[in-house]
Amino acid sequence: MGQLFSSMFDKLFNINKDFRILILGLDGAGKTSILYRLQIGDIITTKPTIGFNVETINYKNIKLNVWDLGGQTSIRPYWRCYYTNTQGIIFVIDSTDTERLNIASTELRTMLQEEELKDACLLVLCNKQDLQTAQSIDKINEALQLYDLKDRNWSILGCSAKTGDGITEGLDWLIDVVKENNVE
Amino acid sequence: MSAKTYKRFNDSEDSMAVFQDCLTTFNESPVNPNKCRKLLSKLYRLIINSVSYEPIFKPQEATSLFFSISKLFQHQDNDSLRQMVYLVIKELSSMSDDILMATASIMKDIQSQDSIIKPNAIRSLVRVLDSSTALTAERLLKSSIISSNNDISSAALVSAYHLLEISEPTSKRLINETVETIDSKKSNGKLPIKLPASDLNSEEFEKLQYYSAHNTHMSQYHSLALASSLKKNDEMGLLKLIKQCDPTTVDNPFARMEILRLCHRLVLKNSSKIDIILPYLDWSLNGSSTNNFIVLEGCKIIFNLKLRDMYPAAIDRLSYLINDRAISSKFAAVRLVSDYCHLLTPELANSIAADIEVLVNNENKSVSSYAISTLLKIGNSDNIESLVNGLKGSGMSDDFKIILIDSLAGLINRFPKVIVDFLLDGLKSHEGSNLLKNKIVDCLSILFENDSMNNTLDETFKINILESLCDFIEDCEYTDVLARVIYLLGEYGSKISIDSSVFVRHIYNRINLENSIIRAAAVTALAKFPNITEPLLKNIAKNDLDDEVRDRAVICVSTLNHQNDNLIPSVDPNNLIHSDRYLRILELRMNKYSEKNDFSNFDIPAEYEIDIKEIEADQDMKANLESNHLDEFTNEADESSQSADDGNINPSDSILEAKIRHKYTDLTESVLNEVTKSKKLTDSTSEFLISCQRFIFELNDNTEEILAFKIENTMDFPVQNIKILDDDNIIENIEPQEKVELLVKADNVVLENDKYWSLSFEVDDFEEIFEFNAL
Amino acid sequence: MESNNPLSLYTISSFVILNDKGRRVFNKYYTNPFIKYQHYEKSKETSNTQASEDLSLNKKKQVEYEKSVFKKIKEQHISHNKDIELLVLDTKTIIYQKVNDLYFVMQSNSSSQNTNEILLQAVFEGIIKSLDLLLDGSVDFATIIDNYDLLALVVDEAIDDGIVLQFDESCIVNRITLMTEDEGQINLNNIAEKGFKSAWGFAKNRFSL
Repeated sequence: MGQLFSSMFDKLFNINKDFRILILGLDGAGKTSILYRLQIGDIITTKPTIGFNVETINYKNIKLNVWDLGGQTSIRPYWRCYYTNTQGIIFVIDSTDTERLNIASTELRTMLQEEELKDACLLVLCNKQDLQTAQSIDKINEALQLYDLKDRNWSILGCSAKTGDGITEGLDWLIDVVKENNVE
Repeated sequence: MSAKTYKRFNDSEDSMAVFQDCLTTFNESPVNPNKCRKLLSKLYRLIINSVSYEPIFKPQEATSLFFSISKLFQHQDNDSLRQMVYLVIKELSSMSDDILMATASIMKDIQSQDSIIKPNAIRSLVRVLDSSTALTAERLLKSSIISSNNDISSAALVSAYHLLEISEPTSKRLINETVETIDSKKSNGKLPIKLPASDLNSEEFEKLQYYSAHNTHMSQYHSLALASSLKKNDEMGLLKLIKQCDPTTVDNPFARMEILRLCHRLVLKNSSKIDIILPYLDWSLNGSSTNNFIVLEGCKIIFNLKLRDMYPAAIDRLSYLINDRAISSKFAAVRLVSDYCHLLTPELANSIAADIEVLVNNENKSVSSYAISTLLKIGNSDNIESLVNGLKGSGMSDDFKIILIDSLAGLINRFPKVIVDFLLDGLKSHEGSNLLKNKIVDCLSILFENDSMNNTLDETFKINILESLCDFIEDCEYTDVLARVIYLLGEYGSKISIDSSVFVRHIYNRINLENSIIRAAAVTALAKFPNITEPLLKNIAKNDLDDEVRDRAVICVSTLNHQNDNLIPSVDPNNLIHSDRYLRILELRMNKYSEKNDFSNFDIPAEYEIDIKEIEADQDMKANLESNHLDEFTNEADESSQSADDGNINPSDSILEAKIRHKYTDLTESVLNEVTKSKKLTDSTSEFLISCQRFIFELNDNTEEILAFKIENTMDFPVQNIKILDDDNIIENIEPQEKVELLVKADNVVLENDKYWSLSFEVDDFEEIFEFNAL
Repeated sequence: MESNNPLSLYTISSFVILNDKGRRVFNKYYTNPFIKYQHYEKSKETSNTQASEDLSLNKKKQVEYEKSVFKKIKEQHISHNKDIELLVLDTKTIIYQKVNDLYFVMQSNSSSQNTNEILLQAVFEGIIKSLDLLLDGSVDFATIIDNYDLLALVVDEAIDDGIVLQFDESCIVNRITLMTEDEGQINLNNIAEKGFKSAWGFAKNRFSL
């Protein structure tokens, strides 16, 4: 029944396309947790992702293909294989991991220089805000130097996969931008 | 044929076109599952059918394909696509890099509820792992093995079995679950759970449950094999496994076969365990739900272990197998009888022969050949002739002809005429491998040899054979066969009483026309006809181009001059069994001779039996040299390293003992009581390195002590006439760096209160004395 | 990977389908998957790897095998014979059958003495019967090409890299998913129903004897 209605809505709003979102970030940032928080609305126990997880998420009548790619150092080189046809990127930062913030920053920079991602919008989620040692969004923003980004729709928000705070807000923003960019 | 079908039949797809197609199609979103599955099967077909020596896709391309296919994982709830995805991923996994990227997706499938895809996922998982990541699969494999679903359990067991190749520890951790599975009866997966039952009426639905596949319990087979592999060195563990296998619970036929084979192996290692196998053999032959392949295994074991009491039962079952419709049953049964017919009593043999006779006319060549060969072995004179005649022109393959000829070899003395006919045909035929023709010559040799001992054949028959062989050598492509036939002509042609010039002529023709190996064989053969061939041989000795041929001719001529038959040793190349030992001694002696680089006369001394032991021990010592890093000499001289401690006799000691007994014949009756360890009597900087071992013999309370000295000359000039005072034994010469042995009666040497012994030697006729520590 | 261990699970060396001219239509040469992967790794390092004796790693030998087995089959096969036949090549037992215009050929892994031919035939029959069921009786070149996915899946469900997984045709067929009849978007109800009903359809025909 639900599928019947959703296909009607698709036709109404003329949105037949799936949108592709990548969730990237260093290992342990919380990407998989965020993915499943989005999909099932709850926190699950995760193991380090060797490879990728992909789920189709219906969010506000939009169909999203969300790819959560493993963040271990040996796996990061493969992110490039998934860049094609990506509309949005969620970059997840572990707000408590101050030591590796610069590594995260470098990875982010490198990624943003890819030709294939030039039209993708960027949402930076500073995860684990529920923890005491979490750095503030401003501090992280400074470290990442996002204000330098030109020709890119971007936003930075705090969130906690554990509690669920901030996740949907972030996604809302992402969806709006993606829809704007892709309505033709 | 329409144009469309023609194109399809002659479809030579450009691999690059398919490649591009794949990359585009699989990246689409949403994906069309049927289109993808069709494309995947096209890709699969392309990959496996390519005949080029290089893989059809280079690593980079294969990896791109792998990645684009892995993206198809995003499409959930589509088992038909997913199954195809797994199939192609498995294929690409041995030609792509970075395949571990699929790991998370595969693991997710394994953990899902969907049981159709789980087995495929498990089997694929193992192909993206390597030795370092193997352990991550352990938990998943464990839980899969104990699943109540046979397909899932089997998939995990089989994957663990593959893993033995790179990571046995991982598989070892699964042993408990594996053992549990051996006698559990797991059912196969049911149809999709998402089935909308409301669409069927209840009757149809019930029928469906009933038809939902037989339960074959294959996981019993896989778990038993895995467990026995993991426990292969643990005999107690294997026995426990077998005890666990109750015929009522372990009903998978493959598993039952493994049980039989496992029992068989255990009994072979330890014949006292025969009891464990008997109940299984019983139900393999007689059990009501037994299966043909179990019967076969049971019979194999019965004959292999020579369990006579069970022969009749086995033959009875084999008779059923022979009459079974399936070709494999017939073949396997008749082959088994052929292998073991020599164990059967005449009654049993005849009873099974009746069944086998039917097979002689079977359309399948393999079966009929084995049938014929078996009947020949069972050897009834009634049918031999018709059988052998039936073989002619039957177009049998070489493999079977060889089997047949092996059987004929045992019969040739009893039925010479019939068999020889067949053999000569085979020899003359232009077809036939080297091995086949050699086997034929084997048979003929046996025939002639037997005749030369027992004089059973009449002359005309022999002459006919030899004449056929003469024809044969005119046109034979195999040098070794030709040489052997020439030998036969020489050896046996010369014994024929009539004029043998015909043989000589044929052999001599070969001299002019063939290669040096043949010519050499011909020379030896011609020498058997001395009266005719002497001038020929002299000619050859002068003029032939090849050394070996001339040498042989010279030897033959010179022995002819001596008119003494015994000088040409008739070492029969066709009968090496007797001379094997002799050849071995010869070889060892010659090796030693050539090592010494001394061109004095080569001879085999009378005591060559001792010789051979010494040389063999020598070789063993040399083989241990690298691992011990010890010189043979110092090995013995070093007290701590002697291996006599474990109760085994040091081989060099037994050699020395033999030498002592040979030299001192008065010790024949004495018993060797004690052998001491070898002790160094000089330090390493002395002119002579001397060590000594005491051999104490006893006879009727009299003891006799022999000292075995090992002496090495460390100087850079030879010394002569060495002896230990006051013994009489002399060593004539010791070269620099040479080691020698000297056996001396202790009585002659040991003087009271002597702390030093002396060794006298000569250099350039000057006598010198060397003192060294006494024992 | 030849195995002379009678307890080994690796009982099948290869499964090949040839057309009536002896060209390959389908082929699978089996060995432990890690050995295959190691061979691949080695071949990347040195361009001149020594050719392996193992059939599964050496294309040239595969082609030679296919040629010689086809030749032998042609030599000893009587043309009207549609039964399962057996021959021995290079000490290995081979089970084959001519089905319409195709030759199915299975080779055992161990030498003749260790092979249980009856078992080999059981697996062989299982595969052919499964294809028979799935293709509605028309097992021939054209149908196979059109349904290559089914062929590949059947053989895959029967044999896993040389290990017999399943020999009973009802079990094998039970594991094979069929394609949906609709092109285009997936409809959950459709796929389960149609897929199942196709299976039910032929199950009704074949099993209710």
